[in-house]
Amino acid sequence: MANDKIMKITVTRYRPEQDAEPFQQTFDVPYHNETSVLEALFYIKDHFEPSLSFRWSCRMAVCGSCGMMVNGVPHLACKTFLRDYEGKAMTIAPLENFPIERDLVVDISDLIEKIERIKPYIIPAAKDKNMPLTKEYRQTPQQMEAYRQFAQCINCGCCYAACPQYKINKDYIGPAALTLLYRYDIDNRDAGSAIRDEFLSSENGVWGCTFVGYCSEVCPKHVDPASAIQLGKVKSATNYVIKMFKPE
Amino acid sequence: MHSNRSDEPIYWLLFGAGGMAVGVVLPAIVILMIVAGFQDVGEASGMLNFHQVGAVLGNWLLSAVLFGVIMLTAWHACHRIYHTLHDLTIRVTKLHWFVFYGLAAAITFAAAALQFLIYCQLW
Repeated sequence: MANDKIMKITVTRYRPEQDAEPFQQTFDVPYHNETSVLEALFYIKDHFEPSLSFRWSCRMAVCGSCGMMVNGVPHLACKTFLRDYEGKAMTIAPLENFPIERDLVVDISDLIEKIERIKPYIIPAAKDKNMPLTKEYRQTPQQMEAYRQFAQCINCGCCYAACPQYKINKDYIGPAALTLLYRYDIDNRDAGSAIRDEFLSSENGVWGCTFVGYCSEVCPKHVDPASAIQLGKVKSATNYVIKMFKPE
Repeated sequence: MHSNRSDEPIYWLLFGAGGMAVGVVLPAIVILMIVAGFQDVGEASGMLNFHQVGAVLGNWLLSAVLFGVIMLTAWHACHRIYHTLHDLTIRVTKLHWFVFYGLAAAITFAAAALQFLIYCQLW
């Protein structure tokens, strides 16, 4: 395309079978107004480096596969456009705070394990245990609105790449998992709060957060994990005071 | 992967209450004191003279409110500094914990002791 502009894009490469450590490779990528970072990576793969590895799937900010660092900031590659970096160079690196598997692919198994750990599903109350499958739970629009925003998470890992607490303490449960924990805790169909309190109130739960707020800034789905964690602190503190006066 | 229940809620609740005290109640008290001080500046006879303040602290309600404000302000400030150390990349240890929360506790006890002495007209 004749009218295309050119952007210098530096990509972090790492092929474990031949590289001792990650290195940088720079490409001149032509782009137009609609070119996303993901499409720029396709261009590099098609025209310069067929071996370049990166995760992607939906191309429309739904699947959460293409989280990566663009100029040092966690972004979804499909939702970030070269036009917003006009006149600047671009560096693309794998998500921070996760081990690199290959090129831009990181190992997010720690994030997945933490999400599983906090039991992110509806735990029915004892009275609902034997509810027939044909009977539905009732929920008003207001009750849904209470957690809707926190249910938008696509597990892209951008908040973990942004979090300075997770950087220094990998045992910290972290923004996405704590947000999901809070989302199920406040769901009126759920009765698992007491079970999840062990994670919510632990030193590596909400109290590991120092409210930097960068997670909410970078979240591509506007989930606002920092807000969920602060609300979780209120919940945890309330539980603490209740436990003080009502020992088991 | 078990992690202990955090006792942070105690400090966090004191910090939160202290934030309200510092933000809402303390300015009102400071303004009242400044106004009273300017109205009559005499050290012995003015509105803020020793006996006058002693009389204010002799009122159990005022004394309790002032104790609450002083104590919460101390806990708020110490908690804030303690956590700011972490933000300044200083690795906090148990020693820092004892210094800052110890200071808050000391201020609390000092305020309680002094106010009790004044309330009982022993000082």
